[in-house]
Amino acid sequence: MRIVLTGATTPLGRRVVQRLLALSPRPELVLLVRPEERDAWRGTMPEAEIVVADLVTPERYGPALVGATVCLHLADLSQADDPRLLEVNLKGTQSLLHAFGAYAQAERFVLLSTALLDQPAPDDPDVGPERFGSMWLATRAGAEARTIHWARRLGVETVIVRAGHPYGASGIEGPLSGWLDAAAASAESDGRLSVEGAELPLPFVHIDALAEALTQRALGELLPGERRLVGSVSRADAVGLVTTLAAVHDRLCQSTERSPHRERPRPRLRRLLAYVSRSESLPVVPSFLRRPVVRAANPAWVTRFGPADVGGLVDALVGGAC
Amino acid sequence: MLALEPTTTAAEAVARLLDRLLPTLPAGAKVLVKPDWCARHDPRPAENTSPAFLEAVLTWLVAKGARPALGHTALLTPPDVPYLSFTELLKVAGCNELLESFPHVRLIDLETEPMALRRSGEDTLLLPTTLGEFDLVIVLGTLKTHMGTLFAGGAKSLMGLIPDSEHLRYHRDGLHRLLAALADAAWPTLTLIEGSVGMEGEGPHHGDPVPHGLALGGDDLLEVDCAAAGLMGISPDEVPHLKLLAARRGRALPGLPPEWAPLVRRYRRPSAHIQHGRRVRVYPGDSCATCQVAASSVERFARENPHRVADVAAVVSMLMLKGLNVWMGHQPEDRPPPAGELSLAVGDCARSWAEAHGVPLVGGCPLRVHEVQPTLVELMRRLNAGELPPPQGGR
Repeated sequence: MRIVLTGATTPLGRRVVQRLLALSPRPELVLLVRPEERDAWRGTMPEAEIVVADLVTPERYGPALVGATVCLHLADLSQADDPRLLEVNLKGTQSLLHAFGAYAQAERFVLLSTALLDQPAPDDPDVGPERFGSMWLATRAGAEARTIHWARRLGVETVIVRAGHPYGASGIEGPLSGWLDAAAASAESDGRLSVEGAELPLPFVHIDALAEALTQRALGELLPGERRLVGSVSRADAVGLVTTLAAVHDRLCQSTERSPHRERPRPRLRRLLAYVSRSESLPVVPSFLRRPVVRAANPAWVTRFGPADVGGLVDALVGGAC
Repeated sequence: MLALEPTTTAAEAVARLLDRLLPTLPAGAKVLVKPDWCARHDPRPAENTSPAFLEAVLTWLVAKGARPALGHTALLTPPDVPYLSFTELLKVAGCNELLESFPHVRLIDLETEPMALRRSGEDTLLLPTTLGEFDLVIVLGTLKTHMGTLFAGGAKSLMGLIPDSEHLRYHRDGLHRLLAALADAAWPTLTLIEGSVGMEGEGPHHGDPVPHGLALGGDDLLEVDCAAAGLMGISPDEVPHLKLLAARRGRALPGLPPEWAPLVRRYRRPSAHIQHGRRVRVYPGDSCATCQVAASSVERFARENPHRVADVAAVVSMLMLKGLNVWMGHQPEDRPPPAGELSLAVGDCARSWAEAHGVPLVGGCPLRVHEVQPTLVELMRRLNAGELPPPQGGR
């Protein structure tokens, strides 16, 4: 089996690579890596074919896809104001679809998306940020729309994993990653990842769980919570699969025998702070103690807080940990 | 088969043309119509296929019981700039309202379609798999000059079938060769050239209108393009991609039918540069839109960053007072920059030329606006401050 992987230099990508390389028989891995990522690579190079190219230049990496049957597209930029959002998330995905469909023997395509999108991908593949509240979400929605269209046209089994924000990669990448991980773990442990009235927990997932789920899905194992998208097009024998963070998270808890942290009793001080910060009936509570508004695309949240905004999410999370 | 009709009205001319060229179109035939849409805003005459011409083609096809579809890819933009998508092109081309009259015409954003590999000689191209679903493909072109290829027409219009990334590659790796390969691999069933008004000079975007009053077409792309070039006073020998296409097909270059000779008009050839304002000259060469859009972003920088007084002053000084020559694409080595004038080059295609002539370069391919803009501003600040003297070799 020959598997193409993007985003291999991210903490998540590295974990997926490790898992794939540990399989027996070991699949052939083709890692598509941007030039700057290649230069910044730390640690031992994995035993894989590494192709250095921008995603938007399919003519450069396309020939390396010959013989590949599975593509795991994990490259995703999620900083709200990153100028490369369009290039990587939307145009890169589109170019990868072009190349994978043309050069490879495409059997399965796995797109990592985000649990912040819980509405169906729009028909319009060029959605703008005004509809989703941020360019990042718009690029993710556009990428999903283009992927689904591509899958229906080619009849390739296609999986869209709407994962939550991965945490658990502390100290690996970026100056804020440790803070973010700590914040996510803390928020989860004291129950702040659940929201009143919301059907789903806040979209966070442990990075190992997500890596395991993606690896297994790339190999063809269904995830819990998957649903098949039945297209109206005659050639739509493709299978679109959507899963949410909650399902992935539950799967992680089961597969790693890790019980959900929120079952543990919370420390008294933390419970008090959580109560105070949630309470809107106490006007004397200083603003810095109030729980920051965290936005997600859960319908209840959207109604309450407006469109999802990943920048707001990250900021609120880090602030909450402080 | 070649046919030419005077354009009393677009509808009449197209109907007569198609009656001659497609006498036996079977009812229910699936026809893909690919218009020539290259304008990014407010199209000039002949820059785009006109809505009237497109309407005439669709009307004729519908009347014959065919099942037409309209398809186009996005226009090339830098990677960090949103697509100029099919839906945007419909608006720019003024076809949104027109298509309300054709509710059964299928609209296809070819950018989102799956791609397949097609070969022409040694070249491998990405083309939409959708092309194979149609019984006929009709390519529309216009009579216009082109600063990169001298002549536009039907073969150049085929670039509206290829995805964003391929556009970039064509310009970078050899526009004429890959254009010939594209025409060879995506050979259309029919080519129609609109020539009620042509474009001369700095086409396909900045030229001037030439009333010509005709439309032509045929089932042989090479014949149609050579005839169209001939009608503009351009010998097909001068058009590199037509010469290469003929070679790929093992044919001699067709000439202008002798009976059409009285219809020839001498279109003004494109010059090497576009005058931008009074002080800026842009030499686009065969560059693609990523370089052009990225380079033009310095003006936007000045508008959006008024608080950066020193930088804005340098940009304004260069663009409006001192003057600047901006070079892009593969420039001929024997074309030196004007002596004593400030120049800068943009994009990897111009690298060897810039190094040969000592012109400062903002390299990269594809260029991203967010990367190029600060570099360009910095370069212009240094040029303005006299830190980078103008080249002294002159012509």
